[in-house]
Amino acid sequence: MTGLLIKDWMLLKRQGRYFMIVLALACILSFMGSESFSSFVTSYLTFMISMFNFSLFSYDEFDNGMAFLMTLPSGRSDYVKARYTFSILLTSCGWLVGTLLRMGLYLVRFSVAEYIEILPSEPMYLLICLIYMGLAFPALIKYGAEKGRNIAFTVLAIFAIGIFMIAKAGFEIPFLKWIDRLAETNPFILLPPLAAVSVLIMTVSYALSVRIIAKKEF
Amino acid sequence: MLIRLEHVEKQYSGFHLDCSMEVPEGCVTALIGPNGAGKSTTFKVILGLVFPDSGRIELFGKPIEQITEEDREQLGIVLSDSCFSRYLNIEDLVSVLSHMYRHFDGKDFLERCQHFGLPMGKPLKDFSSGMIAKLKVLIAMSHESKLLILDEPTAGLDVLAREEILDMLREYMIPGDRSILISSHISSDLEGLCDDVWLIDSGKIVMHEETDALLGEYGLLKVTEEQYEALDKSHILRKKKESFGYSLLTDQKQFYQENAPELAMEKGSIDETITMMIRGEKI
Repeated sequence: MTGLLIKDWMLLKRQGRYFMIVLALACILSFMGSESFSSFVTSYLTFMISMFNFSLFSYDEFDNGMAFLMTLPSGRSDYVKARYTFSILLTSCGWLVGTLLRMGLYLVRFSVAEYIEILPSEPMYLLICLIYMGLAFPALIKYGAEKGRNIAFTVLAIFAIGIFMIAKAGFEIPFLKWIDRLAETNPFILLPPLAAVSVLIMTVSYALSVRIIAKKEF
Repeated sequence: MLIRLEHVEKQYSGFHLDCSMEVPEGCVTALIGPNGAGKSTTFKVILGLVFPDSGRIELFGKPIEQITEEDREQLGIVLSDSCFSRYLNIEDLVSVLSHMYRHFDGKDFLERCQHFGLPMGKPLKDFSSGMIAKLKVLIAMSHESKLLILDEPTAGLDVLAREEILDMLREYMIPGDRSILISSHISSDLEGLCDDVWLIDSGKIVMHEETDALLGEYGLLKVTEEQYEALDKSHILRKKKESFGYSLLTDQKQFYQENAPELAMEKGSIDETITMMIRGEKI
């Protein structure tokens, strides 16, 4: 598995310029831009860096490369293990950089009190990205990078549009209202269930991906 | 036997593979046949990239389902249309391969890459097709593998690049305990390299012969219709109608040279044997 992790790391290094641009943009807009951008620098960085995990599938598939990877000693399940490990580590790193940047930003431009107010929202971004990857990865492995990504984005878009339409139509979703009330009472209270959901989704997703790749022909 | 296939069947729309063949230790074995004959499917079945509908596949004397990571390290593989990601460069590959194979010799690999003029820092997507072909073979040979499985390793290359790759393969075989299974469209490559040849057509093995026998004992008789009628056809494998009469493929060249010395006889070659075995009519 180490060889596959190194392969992903090498591919990541090839995209160093992309990460530099993402980070530079985050720094510039955070310290010079509006307050509204400063408030979502963590989510921006976590999301942009987690997107690279989707690109890794494309890099592996380029020129039918998956067939060759599947002939290597590490085998099929190790490929999935390496992909999930690398994705979790990379997304966590993106989130950590975003969190530190946002912390520094609030200490320099705003106040510690304001940062403490938004602190509970920080881990949410990481957990939401992990949930999304957990939902999308089996589709990417089954249908390939291009088709799988389209399926994952479509499902997400339908879900978001659905919520938006319901909210716009004036319907109240009791579950969401209950979550809102909980979050207002104690912002930290949502973190443990969200963490449990992300761990559960990632675990089921991993098991599903191992099953999919074991049956896939290249 | 390093590889044994027993009635391995795979059904696709419009194509049915039913293949039985063997690759012995210490030999270079060729799998040849026209486009779409089933060569790549056979390779993919051996490598576990596609799953057979029925039949038995053994690798290193074990059923393919029982192959371990250590066994896989003994394989060096070239696929005709696939390699490492083209975004990586040779230096990256050294890091990857050294963590993938316990016996990977990075120093030797880099020296060979330099010897063949492969650029170290360039991503593979900027390599020419000749460079990629050489790199694929070098990767396959870089980790003391016991068996090379090479699907069209010389496809699309000029004669010099092909000869360099064939020299690399001959050098690989020097220790004596290694084997190669190779497919190629270029018969001259195989004639100077292979110990035995399996011919596949429409998913079925139609011939297996040692290369020396194929080149030494096979011959192509060119006969008129009258000569054909009078001929003893007991050693004729295939016939093909020609403007002058018939071309006849025999695996007993000497028999006809002794008993019908007046007939025109051409030396057997892999190309002619393939053409006659596939296009010719069975007698």
